[in-house]
Amino acid sequence: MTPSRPKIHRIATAAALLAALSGCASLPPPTAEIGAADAAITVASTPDGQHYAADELAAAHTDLAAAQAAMAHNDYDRARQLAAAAQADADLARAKGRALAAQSAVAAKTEDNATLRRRLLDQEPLQ
Amino acid sequence: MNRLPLCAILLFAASRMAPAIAAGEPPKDPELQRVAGQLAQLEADPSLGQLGDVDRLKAHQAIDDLAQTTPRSRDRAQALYIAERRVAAAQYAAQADLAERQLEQLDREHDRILLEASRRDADRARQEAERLRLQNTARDEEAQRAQAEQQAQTEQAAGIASNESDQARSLAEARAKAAALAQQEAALTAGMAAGAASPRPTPPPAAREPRGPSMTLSGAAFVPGKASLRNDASTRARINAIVAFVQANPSARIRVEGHTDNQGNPQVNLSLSQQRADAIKNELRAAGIPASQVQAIGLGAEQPVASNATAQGRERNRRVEVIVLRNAN
Repeated sequence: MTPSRPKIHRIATAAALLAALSGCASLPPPTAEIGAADAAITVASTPDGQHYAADELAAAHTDLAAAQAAMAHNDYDRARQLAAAAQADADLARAKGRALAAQSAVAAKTEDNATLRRRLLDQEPLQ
Repeated sequence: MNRLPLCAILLFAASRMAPAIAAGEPPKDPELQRVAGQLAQLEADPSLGQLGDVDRLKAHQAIDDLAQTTPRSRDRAQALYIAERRVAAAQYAAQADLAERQLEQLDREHDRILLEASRRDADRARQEAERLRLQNTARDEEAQRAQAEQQAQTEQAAGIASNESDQARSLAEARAKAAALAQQEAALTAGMAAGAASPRPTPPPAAREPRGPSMTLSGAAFVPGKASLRNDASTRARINAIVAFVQANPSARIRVEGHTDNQGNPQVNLSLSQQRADAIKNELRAAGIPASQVQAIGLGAEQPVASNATAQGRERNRRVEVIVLRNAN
């Protein structure tokens, strides 16, 4: 059973495309991406970030280190992917730190206002 | 570099070819559907859907990148990881925006409670003044009657006179108190109007233990980089409100804390925050509050109330907090 002519044609085109694409694999070194990931980690490393998103920050550091290692071995594609992952980790850490800190502040402030209301408005004024 | 456009064309062609190569198999991608579904669910949420837009945009981009990979390709795991993290970041960013808005509302509520309490104090003082005035009038009448009826008993008349001067003194004191409270109330009202115009700072996350009622002066009230206060109406009104707030708690210890953002030299920030706290202490002293009652301290960038990553957050971190300490009350 031989393959039909159009199918052979299709496979040949796909093979040619794949060969051409593999030539594209080496884009320039992702120096800027690694720099951006590093900067994103710095931004996320606030006290809130370290307190509420320690795991995410650790993942970002691990990915960044792996990206730098890949860069040292001239594996630019891998370095680019890892830098993007590190940046996503860092952005997640920053957002999580902000969210949990603000939610905790909302809880504290709500209670504060309730206490203040009780002390000032429901009973005798503070003197 | 001139290979890039060629690569783009080839990639486009490859993406067109992919369905043709996989012809016959229905395009099923549960991972992509799951992640895209989570983002769609966030955006459909009535309270969160419009928040955290930068992170939502990045999540969309990551899902687009994920859609460019096929389930068994080499880049799949990495693209899926990034898309999942980006969607989670978008969820947290929306929650953070929502909570920060709630904090601003809570700050406004805090000021409203202080204002209402001060209003009630003033009412109470007015009622006391009125009561004493009526009492005094009654006593005046009594004294006149006594004088008209009896001229012989001078000792008794002298006793009433001394009573009368006591009454007059308490009336004057009550009136003075009512006037002072009315002034405080006016200052608080003006201060609230001025405070509402600028973005309101939030309490420091590091200071969650309830220390006592506090008011915050935005760093915008100071000349940039200096410890001198701006000489404009809204700054003046806010200072007056803070003075009234402190005067409403005459026996309490007051703590004045200066804070900065994390830009620049930490030593310079520390000293600037101290100088700004001292400036507010001087304002309080000028308004007649004893210096021994007030402790001024500069904390630099140690206790941010917002992220230093954005200009808005840094602006909120530059501030002076005036706290009425509870335990020393």
